[in-house]
Amino acid sequence: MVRTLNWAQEIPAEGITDFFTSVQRFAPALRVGFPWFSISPKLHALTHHAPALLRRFGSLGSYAEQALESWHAFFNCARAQCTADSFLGSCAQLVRRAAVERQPLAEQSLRNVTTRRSAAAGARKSKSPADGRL
Amino acid sequence: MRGPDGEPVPHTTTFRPVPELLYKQHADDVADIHLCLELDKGGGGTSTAKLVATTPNQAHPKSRSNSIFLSTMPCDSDNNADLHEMIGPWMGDVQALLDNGVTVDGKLRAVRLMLTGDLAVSSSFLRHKGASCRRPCMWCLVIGRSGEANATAAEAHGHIQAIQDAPKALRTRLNLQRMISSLQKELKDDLPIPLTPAEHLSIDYPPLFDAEPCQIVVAPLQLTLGVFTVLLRLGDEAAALHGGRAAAARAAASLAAALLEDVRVRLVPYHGGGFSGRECHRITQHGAVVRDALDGHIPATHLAALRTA
Repeated sequence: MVRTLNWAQEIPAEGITDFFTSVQRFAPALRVGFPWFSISPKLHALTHHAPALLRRFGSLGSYAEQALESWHAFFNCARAQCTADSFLGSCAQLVRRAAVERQPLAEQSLRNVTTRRSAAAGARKSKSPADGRL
Repeated sequence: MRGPDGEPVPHTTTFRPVPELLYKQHADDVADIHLCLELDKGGGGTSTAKLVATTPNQAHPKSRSNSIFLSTMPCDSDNNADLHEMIGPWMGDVQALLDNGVTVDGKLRAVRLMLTGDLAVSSSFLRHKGASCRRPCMWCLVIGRSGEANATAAEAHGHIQAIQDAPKALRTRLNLQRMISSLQKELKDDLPIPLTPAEHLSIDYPPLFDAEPCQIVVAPLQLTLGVFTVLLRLGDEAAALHGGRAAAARAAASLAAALLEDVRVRLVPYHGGGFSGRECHRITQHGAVVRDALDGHIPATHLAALRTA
């Protein structure tokens, strides 16, 4: 259930059916075991509205709020580089950096993971007997 | 986009904008792109509210380099005035996008607006009163309160605690449009006649935008975090009910040790002191370990219910 809920890809029809079944079973099972258990609006949304959205759009993870969480993390790291006289100024710098300066270099800094460029052809060849490569 | 039969709906119709008419949601067979507007507050130190736009119709839709960071502001308070200040200037552009569509590879496509974010944010966007009001759901008209005053409405629209019953009436865009017109009229009036609960449907101010309620995303991350907290708390509550406060402390200690040593997850200082998303997946994978940690601390019936769930 959790995997389907957060998977940012098209869910196949049988995956949607499985999700529907497990979600329908989840809250009633808890109500049987824990009679004092109160249904919260979140659980109501999970039981009734998440399956409907999944059926209509084919994925929930693609529409999830992970991009926003990623920006929170990025801002925490980038705050040191976006120094200004005031907090609002550093926010403005971050927006400028993200939106206005979308140069290739800025694009690189916005990526989620650091990628390593493959070595140039011939760069990894041993050049002396002490290089340790046979 | 899928039809009622679960099969993808082919895009057979071209989008033709009609700017002179009021905006109307396009049909499913019209070629479109989905625009997710995400708003939430977070981050270390002084937290900031951030507004981000993403399009799910692409590979890696949630990657930072595939999203557009629209706006940010420090949120010492997160009231509706701050929300208006931040989102308000963008809503004109969003409406223009919805009216005129967007050109992709030389072809005009319609735009389908999806609202994403924490449930509290989506509530504020619609000016809904929130999770503790009479109608706590943003998608349907289900009743969240008990008592004689709510009996008729609960019979008509269903009660939130009757989880096995499907919602009887969903909210629509027309509801929101009515709210916008009637509540704006009420705000301008010197001696307003307050709307009845059946009229305002737990919306107390004019909504910021008349988005389709069925296109408000259910916040999968927040649901995951919320459900995990509930499951862990239920186990501890069962121990307290069965053996008192000392038993609850023992169950909590056993649970904490299993989470820390066997599942190897730890609490984060954000998300209300819960677990972050990836760690929820680890707890799912090691669900048996977590349930075994409660073995002996709670009755077998409760343990069986946790195993079934």
